[in-house]
Amino acid sequence: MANQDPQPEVYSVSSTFDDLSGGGLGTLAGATIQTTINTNQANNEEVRVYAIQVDIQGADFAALSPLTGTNCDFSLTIGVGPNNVPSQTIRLRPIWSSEDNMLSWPTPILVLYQQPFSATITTNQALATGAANGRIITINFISELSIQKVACAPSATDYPRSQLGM
Amino acid sequence: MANQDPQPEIYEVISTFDTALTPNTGLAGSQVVTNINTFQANNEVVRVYGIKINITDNAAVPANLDPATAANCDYSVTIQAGPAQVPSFTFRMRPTWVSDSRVLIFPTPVLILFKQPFQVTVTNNSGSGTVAGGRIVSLELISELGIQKVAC
Repeated sequence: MANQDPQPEVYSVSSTFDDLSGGGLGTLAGATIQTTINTNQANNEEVRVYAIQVDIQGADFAALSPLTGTNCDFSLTIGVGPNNVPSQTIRLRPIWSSEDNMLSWPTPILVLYQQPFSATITTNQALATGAANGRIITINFISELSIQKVACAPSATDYPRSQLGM
Repeated sequence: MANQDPQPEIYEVISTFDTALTPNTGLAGSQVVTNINTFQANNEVVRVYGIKINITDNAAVPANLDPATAANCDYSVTIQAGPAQVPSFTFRMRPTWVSDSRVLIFPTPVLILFKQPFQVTVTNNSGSGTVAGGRIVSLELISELGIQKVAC
């Protein structure tokens, strides 16, 4: 429910890839973590996602540099309603390696009322066991929550009309 | 009270996370809450356009930390504006801190009206140590104070 119209929103998704196989076997390549985002929007409100920010750090909260960090190849899929938007999975490393750590969409992603909104992160390489080998992927969805604008029919202001329709 | 219309405003929030403090803010999950006084009149509105972040250690002479090498720098921010949180959820600041500009620009400004509580909560996600292991998180809320416009 919006407190102002429009209202800025930043949805943070943090996925920890640390020994997902269990039993000290590390994490297999292709393992995914899906996070559902609750927008808590009303039936006359919509969310627009304008950009994402990406950060990667060790599962022990150690810093990683894009220049020297290894095992930092991850992909993101965004589910909106019945589809993926964008349609394809996107790689996060080019965004993380950039100076602004941000990818701005050419046009915003629309999330309507009661539409499921999820982020799925996939590791593209196997990760050895241990927190130092694990990775925390943080995605910020830079968004806006606003009340949907309704286009009214111009004739609505013409009543009452005369019998001649004028 | 605005001296000009609109008027730029920078509200600074300094949060110190150190295990030697009382209460202990070095624990993972600990929070520091700061109330911001805007001193706005009843016909004035504050708009917050963005947040700039910096993190240093808590030594006697605090040293700037390098995002490429410094550990334990995972913090979240919650902004309370009036009766609600705007944005609605707590968000991570690390993706902004590791960027070159260290500024997060909101797609649309956060509005603070007259007499509305304006509060920033910083949460320690990673835990931190003391002195050189402690952390000072500095936030600058890049804002504007202006007189409300009325449609006549």
